[in-house]
Amino acid sequence: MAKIRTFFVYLILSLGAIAMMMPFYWMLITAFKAPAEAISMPPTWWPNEFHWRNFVEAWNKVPWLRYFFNTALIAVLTLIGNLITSILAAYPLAMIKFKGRDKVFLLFLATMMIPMPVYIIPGYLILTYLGWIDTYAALIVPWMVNVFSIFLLRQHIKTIPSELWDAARIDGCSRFRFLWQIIVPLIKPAIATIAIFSIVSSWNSFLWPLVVTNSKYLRPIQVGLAYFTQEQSTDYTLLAAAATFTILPLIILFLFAQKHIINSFSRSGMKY
Amino acid sequence: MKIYPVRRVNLKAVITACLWLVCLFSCSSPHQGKVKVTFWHAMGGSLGTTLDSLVEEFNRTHPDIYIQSTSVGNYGAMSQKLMASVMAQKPPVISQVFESWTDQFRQAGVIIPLNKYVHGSRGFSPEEIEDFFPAIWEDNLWNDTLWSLPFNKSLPVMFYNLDVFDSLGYEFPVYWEDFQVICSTYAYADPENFRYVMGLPINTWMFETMLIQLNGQIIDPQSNQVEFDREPGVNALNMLIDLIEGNPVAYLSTGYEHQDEFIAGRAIMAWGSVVSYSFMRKKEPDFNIAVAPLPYPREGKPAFVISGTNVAIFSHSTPQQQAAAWEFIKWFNSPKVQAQWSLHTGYIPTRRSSLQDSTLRAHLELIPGMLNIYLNLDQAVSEPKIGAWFAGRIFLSEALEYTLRGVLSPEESLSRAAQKLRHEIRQY
Repeated sequence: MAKIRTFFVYLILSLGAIAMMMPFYWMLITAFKAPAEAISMPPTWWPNEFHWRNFVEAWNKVPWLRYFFNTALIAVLTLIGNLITSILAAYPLAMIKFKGRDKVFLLFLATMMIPMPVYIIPGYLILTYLGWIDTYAALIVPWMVNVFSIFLLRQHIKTIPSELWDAARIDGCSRFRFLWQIIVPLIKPAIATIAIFSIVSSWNSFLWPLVVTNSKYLRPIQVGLAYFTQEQSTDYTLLAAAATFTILPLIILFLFAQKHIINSFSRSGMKY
Repeated sequence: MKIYPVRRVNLKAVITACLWLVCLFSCSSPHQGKVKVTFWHAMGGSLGTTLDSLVEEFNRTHPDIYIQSTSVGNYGAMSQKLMASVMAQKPPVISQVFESWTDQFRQAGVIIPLNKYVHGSRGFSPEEIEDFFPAIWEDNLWNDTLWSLPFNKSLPVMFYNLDVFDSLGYEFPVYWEDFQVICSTYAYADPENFRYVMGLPINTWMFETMLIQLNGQIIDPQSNQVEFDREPGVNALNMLIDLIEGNPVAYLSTGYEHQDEFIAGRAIMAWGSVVSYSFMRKKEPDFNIAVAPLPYPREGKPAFVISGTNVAIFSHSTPQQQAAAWEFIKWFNSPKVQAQWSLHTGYIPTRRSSLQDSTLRAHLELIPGMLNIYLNLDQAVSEPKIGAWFAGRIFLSEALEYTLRGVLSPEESLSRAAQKLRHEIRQY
């Protein structure tokens, strides 16, 4: 009986895994197909002929190295800022009792409901006032605070017993030292999750860079991908080839950090 | 509970390295001594590459001017960016603008009228103005004031599989009634093997063209009265319904699926912009593509609704920048440049004399039916120019979706969209 149960569990999980892998597989084989084969019906599950040229062509059409550098720079600096602000905001919201704490937290959460088109124009006005339009600062600084990260960290910090702070205080530990040397190591899985989300978000950033930058040398990789989708058509094979090499760094990152991500999800009981 | 030690990171070194990299990549060499004209457009991919090469040519041949071309990716991002930059009082010197945007910007006083340039010593002669296709020129006129010059213009056309048409002895019909007969004959030739003739995207452009063909109007240009919910509009929508209901010959499609189906040989026709031809050819179809105007009803008239953008000059720029900007947009609208632009992108030229260009003409003659489209550009009409039309197009698109998906009758959906647009016009 147990064996049959295990069999079905594995069967369902395998089907789920296949369903998750399918878009990646489809992207990969489309990247190797000829343009006509990419839209053929019934679809071919294996390219009739491997067109490696698609990768060369996709690579040569856009200054990818520059775009990779920009995206990596934006992702890393945004992540550093995001972690600093999130940890510093989440700790008091979770562990320090002060008047209006929950209201402040609710106010933070409320900002998550505001869709991007609503704040693009005010954001642009602020950046213009600061003289940051068409600079890296415009691409990085506004995203250094992320309410979702604050929320996630707060939930994790709340699971840490407050007796730990009492003990640390008796030993003469300051608030900052307690946060840096005790809390931060304990919430590493949540930090890893935030890192992944922050990097993925920077990696996928498209509309904001288009609006706040003018120079093509400041654009990230999503703008490069948009090269293959234009007013009257999409170049599926080249787009798939470009998507394949632009997604690789993220997949590698995920493979390294997956243990922490799964840990974080199981500890917080959150689902995405 | 295990307490992990935290390794010390040399934060100062990390920040210094990052700032150094930022500085290194931020420094660019400005074009000293030249009048710099910033130009925002939404041309991406091969269209953007063609535009950039033309801009480079202009910069090379005009040593006192530097046009800085910036692609904003798409019209959605462009709309947001332009709106934000106008509010911040930092718009570009020139930008692509739809007529509805021009109307908003001219009323807000953020773009300049071009009459002093067009009638000035560096302007156009009356013969040159006559050389523009009327609908394309009038797109830029409000009363007698010119607010922009044409940029990228296209027309709706029907693409068809020439090989299939030839093998079946069909000729592409001029009239809608004959078009329906051909569609039914093809789709139901073998009752056991039904075949769709085409995918039908939900698109306001095709509806607008059919409405004009039926002697209707989208909005009365004199009174700004919304007209598309009257009888011609209902009839045009019923014509589209006939294609997908009863004995259907077409199916509803999304995006550019209908063109992919056509290229893959699963449909024998595809509706699209004249610009689509070059993109479809790139996908290497194994048949010859021909082009024809959209068929029109016998009681109607032949017509095309022209679409696309113009270029306007923003008032925040200096007089020198405005004069330089005029030089560029005038140059861009010269017959020679228009012929190149049309040749490499598929957009229609703005000037009649561009069609005399031997290279463009040879190219058009190679595509069955294409030259005929270009030679009939005098039949083109413009979309509404009022600012509210930007929202009106969205309302109309929703109405088409409601009806073609069977939610509302043509009368109900068009009436609802017209009401919303009337409200939008009143808000103006």
